[in-house]
Parts: sequence; C-alpha cells; structure tokens
Amino acid sequence: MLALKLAQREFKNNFRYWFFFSLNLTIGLVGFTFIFLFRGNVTQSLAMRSTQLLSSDIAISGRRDVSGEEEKKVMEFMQPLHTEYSRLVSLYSMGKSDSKTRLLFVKFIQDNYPLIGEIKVSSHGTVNSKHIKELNRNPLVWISPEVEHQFKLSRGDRLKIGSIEFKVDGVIKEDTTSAMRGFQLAPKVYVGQSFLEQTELVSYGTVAWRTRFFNLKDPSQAESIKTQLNNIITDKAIKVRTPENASEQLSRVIGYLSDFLGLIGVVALLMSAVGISYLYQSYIFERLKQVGILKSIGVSRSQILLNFLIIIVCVGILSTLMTLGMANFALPFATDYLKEFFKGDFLQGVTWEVVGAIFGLSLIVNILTCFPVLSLLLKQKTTTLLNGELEGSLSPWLYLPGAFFLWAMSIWQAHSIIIGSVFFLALFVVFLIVMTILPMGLNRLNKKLLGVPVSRPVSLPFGYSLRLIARNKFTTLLMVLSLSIGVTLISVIGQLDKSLKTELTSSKEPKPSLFLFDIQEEQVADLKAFTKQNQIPLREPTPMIRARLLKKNGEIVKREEKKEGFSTREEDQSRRFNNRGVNLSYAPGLNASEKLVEGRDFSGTYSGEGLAEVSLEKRYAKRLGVEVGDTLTYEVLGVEVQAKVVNLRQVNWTSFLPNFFIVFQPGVLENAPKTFLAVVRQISFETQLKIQDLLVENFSNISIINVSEVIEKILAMFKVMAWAIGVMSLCCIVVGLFVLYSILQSQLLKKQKEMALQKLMGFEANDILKITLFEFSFLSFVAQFIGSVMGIIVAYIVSFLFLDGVFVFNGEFLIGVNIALYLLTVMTIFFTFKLRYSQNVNQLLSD
Amino acid sequence: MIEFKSVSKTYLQGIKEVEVLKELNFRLDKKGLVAIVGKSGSGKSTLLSLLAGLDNPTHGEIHIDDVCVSDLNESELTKFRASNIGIIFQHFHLIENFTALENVMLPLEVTGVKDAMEKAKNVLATVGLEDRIHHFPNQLSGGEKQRVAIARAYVTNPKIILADEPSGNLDPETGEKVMQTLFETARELNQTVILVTHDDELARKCDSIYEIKDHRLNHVC
Repeated sequence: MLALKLAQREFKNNFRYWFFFSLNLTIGLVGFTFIFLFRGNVTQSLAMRSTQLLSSDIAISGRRDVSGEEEKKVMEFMQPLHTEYSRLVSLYSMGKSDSKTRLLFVKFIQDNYPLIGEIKVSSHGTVNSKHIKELNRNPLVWISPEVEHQFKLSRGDRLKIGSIEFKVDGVIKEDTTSAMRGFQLAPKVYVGQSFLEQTELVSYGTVAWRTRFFNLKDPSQAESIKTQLNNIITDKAIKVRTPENASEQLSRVIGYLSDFLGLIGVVALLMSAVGISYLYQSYIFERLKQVGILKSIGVSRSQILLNFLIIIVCVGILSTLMTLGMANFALPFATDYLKEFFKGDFLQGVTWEVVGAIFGLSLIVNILTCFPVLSLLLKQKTTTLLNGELEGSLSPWLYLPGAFFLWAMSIWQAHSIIIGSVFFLALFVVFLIVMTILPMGLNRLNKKLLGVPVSRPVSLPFGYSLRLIARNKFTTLLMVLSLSIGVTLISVIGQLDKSLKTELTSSKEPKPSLFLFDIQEEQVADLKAFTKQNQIPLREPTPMIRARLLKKNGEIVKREEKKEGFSTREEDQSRRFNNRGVNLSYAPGLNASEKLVEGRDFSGTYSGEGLAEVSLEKRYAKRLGVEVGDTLTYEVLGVEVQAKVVNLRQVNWTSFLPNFFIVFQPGVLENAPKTFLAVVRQISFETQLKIQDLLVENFSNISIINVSEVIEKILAMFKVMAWAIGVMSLCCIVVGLFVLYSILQSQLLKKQKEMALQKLMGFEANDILKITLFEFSFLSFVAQFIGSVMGIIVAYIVSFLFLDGVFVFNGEFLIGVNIALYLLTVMTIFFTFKLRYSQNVNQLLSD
Repeated sequence: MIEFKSVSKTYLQGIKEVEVLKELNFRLDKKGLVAIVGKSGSGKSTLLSLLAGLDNPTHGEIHIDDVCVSDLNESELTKFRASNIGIIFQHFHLIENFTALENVMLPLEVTGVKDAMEKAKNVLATVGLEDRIHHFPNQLSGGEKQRVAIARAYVTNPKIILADEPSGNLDPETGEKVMQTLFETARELNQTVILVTHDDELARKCDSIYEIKDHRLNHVC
C-alpha cells in the first residue's frame, strides 16, 4: 500500500526527527500518566480506608434488627454474592468498676470481626480470630485508653457491663474501623457477642445498632447490590452502606481533595492535548511542500490522508509504548517514596484504564485536532502547496468534534459536569480573546509599521521583532493561544492550591483537648460553675437536638437511591444530602469559627408568631438545594417544626469546635429533649488527665473523650492531603512547563532559515538573539497576561462553586509562575539559539 | 582583488571523505562580471560559500583586497560580509513577513546607514519596482522577488556580488530580464559580480568565464 510505504520512508529518512518528536510527546504523556496514576492511587487509598472504616464491602445496619422475613430474604439474596459474613451489635451502656460508673460504647463482636481492617490490642498486638474466639468464650473486655484512664483499670481488673463482670484483657491501641469515623458519644470497649444475652442489655426499647457485614465476591458490585438490598429492606431505619457511604463521614474533606484531583486530571489532560496538537499541527505545516509534490506526481487525496493518519497512529503507538516503559521504570521509585504517605496502600500500577487513556489521548485527540488542518490541506491546489503556502482559512466548526471529545473527557476526569464545563468555557473564552481581539490589535500594529524604517520603534531588533509579531499572525495566534491556555490551566491549579490548603489548615483557634457529651440540661449550670472554680478552660456548652428533615418548601423530602453506572458528583451529593437525619442546635448568633455569607442575623428570640428562623451552613444549604427565604420542616421527636432560612453561614470546620449545619434562633427548641456538648480547650496532657479525673468524680454521667490524639491524626491527614495536592500541582506544572518548552522549541526550529538570512545581511549573533528574545518575550507576556487573568477567574468560579467560596488569592504563585515561565522562555531561546545558530547558514546555501 | 591560495575543501559523507576543491589557486584583479561554470556537484556553490565566508577552507587562504577572509572570526566575518559582499540566491530567500522596501532597507539599517529608506527606494526604482515597495514577497511574482533580492544585494554597494544561479528558478523570459537588471546594475555601479551558472549562454555575457573541473578552477576565456 502506497500510504504505508510513504509513512515507512518518512520514518526511515527522518528517524531523528521522529524520535525527538515522540520523545517530546512521551515526556508530556509521562507527566500525564503520573498525575493519572497518582490520582488513582490517592483515590484507591482513600477507598481502601473507607472500606476499613466500614470494615467490609457492604454493611446493613439499623437501630432495630432486621425481621425474620427480611433476614431470610437478605441471606438468600446474599448467599451467592458474599465470601464472608459477620455481625456486630453496638450500644451505649453504663460500665461499672469497683469505684466508678460511666457511660460506655459497647461493641459486641463475632470471631471474624473486622472483615476488613485490624484492631491492635496492647496484650496481643494485631488481633486475629483466635483472640476474638477467646473473647467470645470468656468474659473478657478490650478497653479504649479513655476507659483505662477514667476507670483506672489495668489488665486483669474487673469491669461490669450489664449483668456480666468482664475481665480487662487489653487496651485498644489502634482500630481502623473507627479511627476516622468521627466521635462516638462515649469511650469504646469490645466484648464477645456470645455474652450479649447474658448482659441483659438488649431488651424491648433498648437502643442498639445491629450491623451485618459482608465481604463480596466482586467488591465492584457493591453499589448495585446495595440498590437491590434497599429494594428488599424498604424501611429507612435500616441502612445499607458501602465503603463509599462510609467515607461520607469524611466526605467534605475527601470531597475537596477529590474535586481537586479531578481538576488536576482535567488540567493534565488539556495540557497534554494542547502540546500534542501543537506539535502535530506544526508537523503538518512543515510538510506542505511534500504534500504538493505527492499530489503533483499523482498520489490521491485519500492516500495522502491515510499517510498522515498512519504517521499519527505510529507516533501515537510509539509514544504510548515509550510512556508505559518509562512509567513502569519510574513507578517503583515513586511508589517507595509515596508509601511513606500512604502507609503501604499505594498499589495501583499501570492499569488498562491508564493504557487506554494514554492511547486515547495520543491518538483520538491528535486525529481530532489535526483533522481541520488536514481537511484544509487536502483542499489546496498543488501549486499553492508547492510554494509551501496555504490558501483559505480553517473553519472553526471542524474543531467541534475535538472540542466535544475533550469536553466529555473533562467531565469524565473531573466527575463533574460543572467543573468540566467551567474549564471548557474558560478555554473557549481564551480562544475568543486570542482569535478576535488579538488579530485586531495586530492589524493596527501592522498598519502603523508600514513605511516606517525597520529600526523603528526603539531599535532594529525591537522593530524587527514587532514586524514579525504583527505579520506572522498564524504563528503569533497559535503560540499565544497554546501558551495562554497552558498558563490559564497552571494558574488555576496554583490559585486553587492555596485556597484549598488554606481551607484545610487555616484555623488559628486553639484545638480542643476534651469533648464532653451527654451533658444533661440540669447539669449545665453546675458544670459551668465547677469548671470556673477549678479553672478548667471550658467553652460555652452547645445544645444538640436530634431531628429529621421532613419537607423543603412544603414538599416532602424523598429518599433517593443511587442509580447504577456513572453518576456525577453533583448527583451523588444531592442524593446524599437529601437522605440525612440531622442534629439541630440553637444559638443567638455566630460563634468564632463562623462567618455570615448571605442573609441577615437572627431577629432575636422567637416570639412564637410566624415561622421560626434558621441558619444553614452554606455548603449544606447548597447541596440541599435551599436558599435564603426557603422554608424547611423538621420533625423533632414527633413534633413538626417549620422554619424559614434567614442566613447562610460559612464554617471553619478545622477549628474542631462544636458546629452544626442547622442552627435555630433562640426560643424555638429550648423545650425539646436535648443534651449538651462542650469542649475543653487545648491543654497539656497532664492537665487533661487531672481534669478528666475531676469531671469523672463530679459528673459521672458525662462522657469524656480525649480528642487531642484524634485531632492530631486528622490534622496529620490534612497535611498529607495538602502535601498530595502540592505534589500533584507540581507534577501538573512540570508537565505544563514541558509542553510550553516543546512549543517554544518547535517555533525556534522553524526560524532557522530566517536566522541564517539575518546573519547574511550582517546581523550580529547578539542582534539575532535579541530579535528572537523580543519576539518571544512579547508573545509570552501577552499569553501570560491572558492566562493569569483567566486562571484567577476560573479559580474564583471553581472556589465559589465547590470550595465553600473560599478563595485565597495566591500572589506569590502568580509572580513565581510568571517569572518561571519567562525564564523558561528565555532559557529555551538562549540554549536552542546557541545550539542551532552556527549550523544553519550553510544549510541555507546548500538549499 | 580576490585571491584563492592553495584552497582545498573536503566534506565528510558518513565515514567517507569527499574532496570538492583541490589546491585551488585563483586571482581576480579587475572589476567586472565573472561566470563560474561547471557540472552539478563540481563545487561551484562550495566555492561561493567559501568566498562569502560562510564556510572555511580545509586548507589554504582566501583574500579579498587586503583581508584574509579565512582568518576572520565569526563577528569580524559578519561585519565584513555586511559591507563588502552581497548575495543573490536561486530561491530568492526574502524575509516573508517584510515588505520589498523593508527587505532592501534591512542591510543598510544593520550597518547603521542613516537615510536607509531613501537609498532602498532608489535601488528598488533601479530594478523597476518603485510601485511595489510595500508589497510582501507572497504578493510578488518570481521575477519581482528576484529583483528585490538583487536590490537587497546591491543596496549596501558591496565590493562583490555573489550570485548563485539567480535565474534558475525563473522562466526563460523572466530570467533574461532579471539577468539584464543584474548586469546593468553591476555595470552602472561598477561592481564585481561572481555568477555561478549552468547556462553557457548567460556565462558568455560575462567579462570572463572560469570552469570548475576535476576539483580545479580553469580560466576558459
């Protein structure tokens, strides 16, 4: 076949060119692959942690046990689908030692608990089924460090739970099943499930959570199995959870990271696409004469098109293979390093999804972006092509298939229609600016330069470069477009990076050390007086009322099920937030970690007339689809409470203060059954122990959890996330810089002939360097300006939509990245110039 | 005066060494039109590039007036070339983004000549392009492009004009007109033109003819 032979000859005769070309492409793709893999591994790591939180692939839990009929159906359904099965019963109960009585969170476990994850106990290390069998055979208990301290217990001591006296067998040192599950209302203990009945704790009316855990033969089917289970158990009181739902406990933070990873995925994708399409388009423009020759000797259009396609496909395959080779080579090193941060979870290598993405990117995107140029090329007259020229202009419509493809890829990568679309829209705006306003400016400049000596304005190199910019419109526009898209994307990452890090780690409030739960209403005054007397830094106790959202603007809130297959983040969020039972609180105004962002303050205490006033956390309100002025109806222990949303608040959750999504004005919920929670501000470990002792002695029913360790763990995780964001941003910026470098290199190579001519006309090497520097500096400046402004705008929009409106302007990054880009431009020009300048004059003569 | 003293030039083609010019001795004292003829690959263009200082001889020396061109460094060569040598190429090699006037004006501006625009306009008028000065190369015909190239070569009033097959890319009629322009301008400005050509008829219009044969330069007439 002629097209194949031509392609073969092309590779044979220009091997070095194609090798360099593939290498350029490969380095861009390697960057993309690493970001892709990194994102995959972070997501997988989080998913694994979520699975450990849930301690199985799927769990069915509720305050009541499933009925006999339901259980029969569930077990019949799950029989062919599961590999392991375990049950857990957990409840709150008073524990009693020789001298103390306190509330405990008791978990009754079976031999194989947890199905996924691990528990470490001081006396056994990581526990196995043998240890739990022992727990089920003898009345033994594993206690949390708080219980150890508050009850002053040691191994072998007795702790009575219900009717049974258990012997302390060890202290829980690590527990993956609850480490990140938020705070329970009392310190936890583990006992064998075989003692459940004997404790006599479960009787009619007792609140106990019963959970059935299943490990699935195919964990990827968890979501669809969940949907089917929800059809079997229709009672909303019983919930079916998958690891994805378990991670909802951390959903806000993980959601941030996930959104951001999505953005970086999009940026990496678009950066690679910009670079690759630029390289291919440049290649096609370099081959105009060759196409003219082929046409003149009778080669048909289809053969020429096929020839180009074969070359594109071959280079795509070559680059994909090189990328995979490099990724496989470098991945073990990266994995070793990243294991430190992901504690051995960094498992995913180059998967078929990655191979597919790279191959798709290098082929489909190339073909789609080169298609318009190819179609224009094939329409040309042979004589025009022989002169190395192109007549007519590119129809923007021809870019539509490529644009749609990239848009779809963006949504897929970002898992969000809005993020994907915002990015695409921003790029479209950049495209419009570059393709409409810039040409007008260039035309005006050109008119002004006509008939003026080349050495004006300013100097010969400056005047010369201005003419090149004004008259070489295609190159100017293409370069400014590519650069400004690149800079836009890099700027977005930089700006969002700071906003996100600030949101994650900004709280300057001292973190609390102790959380006090279950404070009864009548104890509040005594507790305040006691803490004041003992100089305990207690913050004002906050009331908490359990409720359920019934109606939004008069319409009943329905439970939404997750649909099968692909769903966007927006759909998931809407579903998640519409199904929530809620905790309410009331307060006269905002606390130190809150900021009013919309609406007005409460009008004061509720008078009893009209609707009550409620304040919502901004992000919660958005996901619930509620605005200021809307009405919400809650059920508080059987009583309906209707309220009007009067304001939206922004909450700094990393303050770790008791904050609520829903806060009522005073005078509405005061009479509802409630408990209070309070925090003791950051204090030293010794003081913590002293205060715990004092509180335990004086308020025996109040549950005290030492949260400093948990908060430290969460903050450490935030730091890892911030680190991950930093690394990924850096990867993306490196890819971006390389793509920009490739674009500059490609442009400079094209200018060799002109440089030779300049030299022949008596230009000194320094003057030629100056001309090139002026030209590219100007293009770079224009692109950097457009890109930086657009980057800030996009970052602001994304922050507004997804990061609680937290936008922190990153001036250092803006200056840094622009200096870096400019230095890159100058250095690329300088080194390429030094390398090529001395070689090119003879080539010109032999031409 | 142009003098080649025992000039040899060899190139490497892969691992094979190819000798293009061998012990070439040649002296030209008088101004005028000189044609260098020879078969393809005989070394005509190599000779021209050595003379223009675009390439260095493997052995020997090249003198133009009192200057040993082969001893000049890169910067000195550039300056020397800008004021002493004009080059006309077969493929014109105009700067595509510059108008005819700017292309011709440029060599003057490089050397810092003050009334560059006026001089460039005059030379363009000499070659018959006074009404095309603001046209870009892609708006000019082949013959017009070559006339711009001739004007550009002449505009600095160099001592030597080197022309490499200047009509090779033009149809016979246009080629003849262009060559007529070249010769007339040379005679008018009293300049030395060294013309490399295949065309015997064109060579015969020159004052003297040299032929490169068997790596050596022989005076034909």
